[in-house]
Amino acid sequence: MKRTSAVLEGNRNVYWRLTPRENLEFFASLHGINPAKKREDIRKLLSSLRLEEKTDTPARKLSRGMKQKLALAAALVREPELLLLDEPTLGLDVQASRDMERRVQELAEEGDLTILFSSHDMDVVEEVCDRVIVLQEGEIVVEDRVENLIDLFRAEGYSLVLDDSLEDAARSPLEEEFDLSFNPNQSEERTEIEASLAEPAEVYRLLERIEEAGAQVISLNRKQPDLEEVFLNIVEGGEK
Amino acid sequence: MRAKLLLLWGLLKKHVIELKRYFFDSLSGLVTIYLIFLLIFFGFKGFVSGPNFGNTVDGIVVGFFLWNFTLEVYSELSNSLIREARWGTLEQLYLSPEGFGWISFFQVLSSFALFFLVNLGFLYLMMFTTGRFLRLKPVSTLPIIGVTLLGVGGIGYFLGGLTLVFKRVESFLQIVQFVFIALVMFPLESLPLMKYLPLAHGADLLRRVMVQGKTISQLPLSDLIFLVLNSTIYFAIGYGAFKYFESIAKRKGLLGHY
Repeated sequence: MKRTSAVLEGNRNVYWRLTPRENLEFFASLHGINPAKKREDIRKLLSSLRLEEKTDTPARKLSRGMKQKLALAAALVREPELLLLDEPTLGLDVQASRDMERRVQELAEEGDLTILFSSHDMDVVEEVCDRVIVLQEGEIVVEDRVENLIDLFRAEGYSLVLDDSLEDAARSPLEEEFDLSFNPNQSEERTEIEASLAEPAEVYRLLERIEEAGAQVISLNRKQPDLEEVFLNIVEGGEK
Repeated sequence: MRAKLLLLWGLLKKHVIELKRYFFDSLSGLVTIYLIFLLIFFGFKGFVSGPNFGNTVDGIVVGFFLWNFTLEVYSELSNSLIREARWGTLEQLYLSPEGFGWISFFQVLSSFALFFLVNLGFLYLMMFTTGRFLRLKPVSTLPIIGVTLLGVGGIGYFLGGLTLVFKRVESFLQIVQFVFIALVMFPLESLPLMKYLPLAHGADLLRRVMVQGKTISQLPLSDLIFLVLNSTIYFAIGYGAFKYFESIAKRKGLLGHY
């Protein structure tokens, strides 16, 4: 792979003694790109990350978030085919972190560029990434598309609240037929149930049975797993 | 080729910027060296007198001139590696498709080119201080200085490689600077075996040119060949060791740590 760029963990990656412009010019020349022909690109790159006002300020005077954005700019000026981002939003304030995410997402959507993004922040990963690899103790545990992983754990999980406390006699046939768990700490007049069903259509049968038992459903929610839950499931379960 | 030139140009430009922006930092090192020079010069004046005094002082001036170059080349390879690792820019340099070997070579080259003028000024300062003026003879001195520094580069690479793997060796790096001053200053006649070490033989040849007024063609060919061999061997060993340490550092993921 000829053109690889990277933003590695921590707010380093760039020369603090140089200004953003000088940094970008230097890193361009490091990858055989003539900085004199990139002036306009460099200006655009800096303004797309909202650094244009700091173009000629030595990098050491920039805030942590700005330094990190500069590091991303320095990676991009090299016209990479593969971009490595190691925890790029770690320790950034909300605004800088958003800028960073937004820019990375734009890059991913523009195509041409493969981005390898490592992060502990599952919200960001879910937002930005297409495919996910979960590593545990250096081994690949899972490798799949983000939506597949979330689907995998969608698993038709529902939570229901009933208006009445069901008698044990009414509970056991339900428990035999479905995979349910009753909340033991519920109050007298309610029943809280977590159900995980084999397929979506089963929900109708479940509701019928509840009606037959003489209880009313106050609320029914389908659980929306996010990547964080998926991740925890994978890591704790050891496998899917 | 074009990419290499761009790289060299980029590194040179970065050097100029850093030099300008941190001018007084750069100057303070030279001031220290000048103070050491004054100390040795005036210390010497108290002990030695007679007909040999002038030649000895000239030898010291040549020694300092070469020592400055030596420190520049040496620190560009060893200290700069520590600095870049600490800044987190070392990995970035390693991502360049031109390879780190070329980068470090160009780094030395560009800093040498810039430092050359500074050190020339320093030489004049020393000559004014002592009141004795040496022969510059660039055609004879430049090749000797260049080849001698190649051997120094080998040592720089060796210790640079060490720092990649073992990190905290900074104080050791500083001690080596003073080993260099011994190698540069020591008169070879009194301990001929020293010529097998780096630097000493080159310093001796440089003194013969700058103090005794010989030209490079008047120096024995065998001495010149010995200088080339000595430097090449030290460079090859040093660079080989660097590549070895580098591979260890890469395997263990130590490049960016400091």
